[in-house]
Amino acid sequence: MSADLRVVIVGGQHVGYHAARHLSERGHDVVIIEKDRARVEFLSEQYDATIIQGDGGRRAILRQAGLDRSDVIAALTGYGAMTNIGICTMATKIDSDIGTVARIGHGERDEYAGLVDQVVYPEMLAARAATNEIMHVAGRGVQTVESVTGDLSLLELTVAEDAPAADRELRDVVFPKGAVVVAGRDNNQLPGPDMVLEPGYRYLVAVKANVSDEVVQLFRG
Amino acid sequence: MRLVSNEKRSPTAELGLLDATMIGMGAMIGAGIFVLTGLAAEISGPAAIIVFALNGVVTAFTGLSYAELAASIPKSGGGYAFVREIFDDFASFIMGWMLWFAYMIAGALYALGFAPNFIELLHVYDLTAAPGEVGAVIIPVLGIGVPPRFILAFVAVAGLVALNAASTAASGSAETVFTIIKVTILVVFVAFGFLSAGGGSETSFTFQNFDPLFTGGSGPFSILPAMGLTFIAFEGYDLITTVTEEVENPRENIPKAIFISLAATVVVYLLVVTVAIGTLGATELAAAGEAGIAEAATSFMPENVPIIQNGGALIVFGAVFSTITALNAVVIASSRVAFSMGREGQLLPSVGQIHHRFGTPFVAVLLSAVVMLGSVALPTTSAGNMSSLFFLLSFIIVNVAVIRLRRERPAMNRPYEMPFYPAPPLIGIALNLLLTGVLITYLLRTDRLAILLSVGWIALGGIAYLGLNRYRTPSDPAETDADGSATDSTMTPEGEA
Amino acid sequence: MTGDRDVIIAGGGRVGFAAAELLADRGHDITIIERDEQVIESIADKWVATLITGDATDPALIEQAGIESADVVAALTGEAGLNLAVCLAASELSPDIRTVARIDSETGDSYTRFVDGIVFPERAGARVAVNEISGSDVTTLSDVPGPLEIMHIRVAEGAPAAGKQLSEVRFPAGSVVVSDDGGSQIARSDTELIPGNQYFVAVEPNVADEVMNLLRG
Repeated sequence: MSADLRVVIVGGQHVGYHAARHLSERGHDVVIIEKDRARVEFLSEQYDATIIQGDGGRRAILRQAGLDRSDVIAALTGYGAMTNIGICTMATKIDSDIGTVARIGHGERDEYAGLVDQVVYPEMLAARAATNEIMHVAGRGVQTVESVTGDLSLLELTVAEDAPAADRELRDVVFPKGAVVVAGRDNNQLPGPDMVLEPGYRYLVAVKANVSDEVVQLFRG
Repeated sequence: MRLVSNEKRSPTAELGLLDATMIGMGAMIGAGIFVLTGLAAEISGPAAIIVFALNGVVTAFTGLSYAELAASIPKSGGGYAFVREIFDDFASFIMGWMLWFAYMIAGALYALGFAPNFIELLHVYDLTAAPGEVGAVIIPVLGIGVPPRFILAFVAVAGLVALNAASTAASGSAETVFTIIKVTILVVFVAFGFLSAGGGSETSFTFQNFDPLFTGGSGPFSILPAMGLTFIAFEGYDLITTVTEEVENPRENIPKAIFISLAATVVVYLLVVTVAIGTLGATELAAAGEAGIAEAATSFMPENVPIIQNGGALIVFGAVFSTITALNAVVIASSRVAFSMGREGQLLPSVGQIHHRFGTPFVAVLLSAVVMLGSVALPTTSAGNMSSLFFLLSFIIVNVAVIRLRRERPAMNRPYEMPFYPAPPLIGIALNLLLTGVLITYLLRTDRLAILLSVGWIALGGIAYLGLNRYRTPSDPAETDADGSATDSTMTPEGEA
Repeated sequence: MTGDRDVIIAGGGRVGFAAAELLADRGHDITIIERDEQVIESIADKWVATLITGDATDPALIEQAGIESADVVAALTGEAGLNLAVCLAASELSPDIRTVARIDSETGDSYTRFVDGIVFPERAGARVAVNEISGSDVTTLSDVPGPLEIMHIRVAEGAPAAGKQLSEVRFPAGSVVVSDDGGSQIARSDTELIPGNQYFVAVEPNVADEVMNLLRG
């Protein structure tokens, strides 16, 4: 077995392409199947994946992606859950060992969850990203981004003008045990001891539930 | 709060068309020209010039295949990665195994080319005797005499291996500078060579040296074994395809870099070989062996040049510099092949891991080093023969891969499609097979050692393959488990808002 | 700062509507402007937002949506140019309003001069797809803004960095291990990378493969 995954992605539009890029950045091998000629042109310029031009719903095209050597197939087309589930089903007919991921739409999780190994509903994530952004510009300052494991969650905190931690370097701020800044300045900067907590910018902080009040107080005053 | 700020390694820089071209040319012009010219002249006399021209033509067909594959498969594993894409486990293992060996032996060849040129450089400044006259170095404890060239080659390999095992500093942009230096030195060589025409001295350039073109009893057919031996001279485009992911706009620049570097290399070779034979004559060139070009240069370059004193020293320096940089390139290349095989699970997993402190493919580099260090004990011609043989075999498989991919994956997007398909890969296969056949027949007559070692390496590969399969089988259930848990996990990111 | 917000969302498609739902769940007041009658039809039954049918760049319509009292206008249609136009028109009409535009590529930096916030929905969507594809041992936090990847990585048995202290491992520039297992401790130079435990790592995308190799083998 290979140390890197080999992933076949059906559908090279926004979601499929960006997923391919992330995977390729992590060193995985990616094959994209995309129908649209112009999009194929764009994808091949990015040089992240081998591109198969054709309809991923056709068995002959799927076969060309080398499913027998692949670990996962992800059907991420925008043509609706049925298309994506169908592609995954056909893929398991060709190679029964392959893992399957299908993109679905609103409220379809329960309906399709058993048919493939995983389902994704990308618009929901996009909506959450939009919601966080809206709340940020509305000056809310604190967002729960994700609960990670158990009582650990990730907060997105905007540093307030007169907060205790404002304009301080990370090394000078005494954080409670169980709180870690994981990224800074609107998530553009890697954290380091000399990172300054600038007012108006957002910082991502992993916090345990019992200290989150304290952390919010440091950032928001 | 204290955060960890270790000393960091910087990521690799983006390579442009020039850099990619220079990586290819660097490997091809590097050592081959200095080491192989004399050897080719030894076999086929003045016809050596035809040898290099024809080899350029033969290898161009495989170059087309590489261009098409590299533009459509975005992986940095070189020929091995392409073959892995379409062939089954065993075939791709053998391909990687052979290509790995080809590079390691090429490393030995370049190290062996480095040694006499280095001694020649010292000799120019009267620090040592001429290459042929240096006696053996006696190792005190063992009391055995070891030729100094062997020690030099060994030290060169060991030094570069240590460098590459401990740092990732060697990058593509440095290679560009190195290659430009090498080519400039060769241009100086060619210029002075042609200028010496009509000078009347014994080593002035004259076309009489090309008459008769074919020497010896064998006639025109003597060029075939010479082609086999020197085939390695044009393997550089495989190197370009090992760095594709660092090249900007790769789907256009990689094919271009392959063609430009190949064409430019052929021109440089032809000019240099013409001058070398035109001045020194094929016989003396052959006698000088690995230091042929250097010897030719010292014969006609002006003396009393400021600082370096002897103009010839510049060329000898070029030879030393070229062999050492080319050696560096193949140390990297061979470890990359092994690393890719490790990542694909075709060698032990540790071969495909980077070292936690050095950030280099440490195990892959060390494994390659073992074979390279062992191989510097070989005669130079055996190293050249074996390396060429394995490149020929690998390139045949790459051409087959193009055909299989076209047949089995017609819908695969090919940003670069070779013209006149299927003629180029078929001709490539036929010509490479012909050269392989000629080379093997020639080796059976003259160099049994090379044949023996080659067969031995392939047999060792077969054993390694079976052994690895056995090693992997017991751990299979565990791997399936890990897979299962990965896909069965119930992550529901959107359910948590 | 507390209190509910008044939010105008231009575009009631999948992203716009789902955002409206999330915001409505949190008690904010939402108005959706949507051009497509059919879309209006399909979301009208859900009762999450006030709906206005028409072109969101039309000043008259924006005024109808209650721009004076709104805190934020979020243009979430599928067209970046249109979104920018909506935000600019809204700022013109009500200088204090905060604006968010959805963009469709990662060249969004040029937009930040004109809007207060940008949303790049495909990035979040793609990250969650990647998580599902690569399994539970490596999770990228999906809806963080900005280009950095925040990964939660389980150290694999036998990986090059497994069992090593952080000071012994040279991570590539552009990556930082920020917290140890479970995020309860800030990573220090003597933090040990214990196989089987998970660590937060902030990574620039171009070195993600090296980090993966070190921690996952």
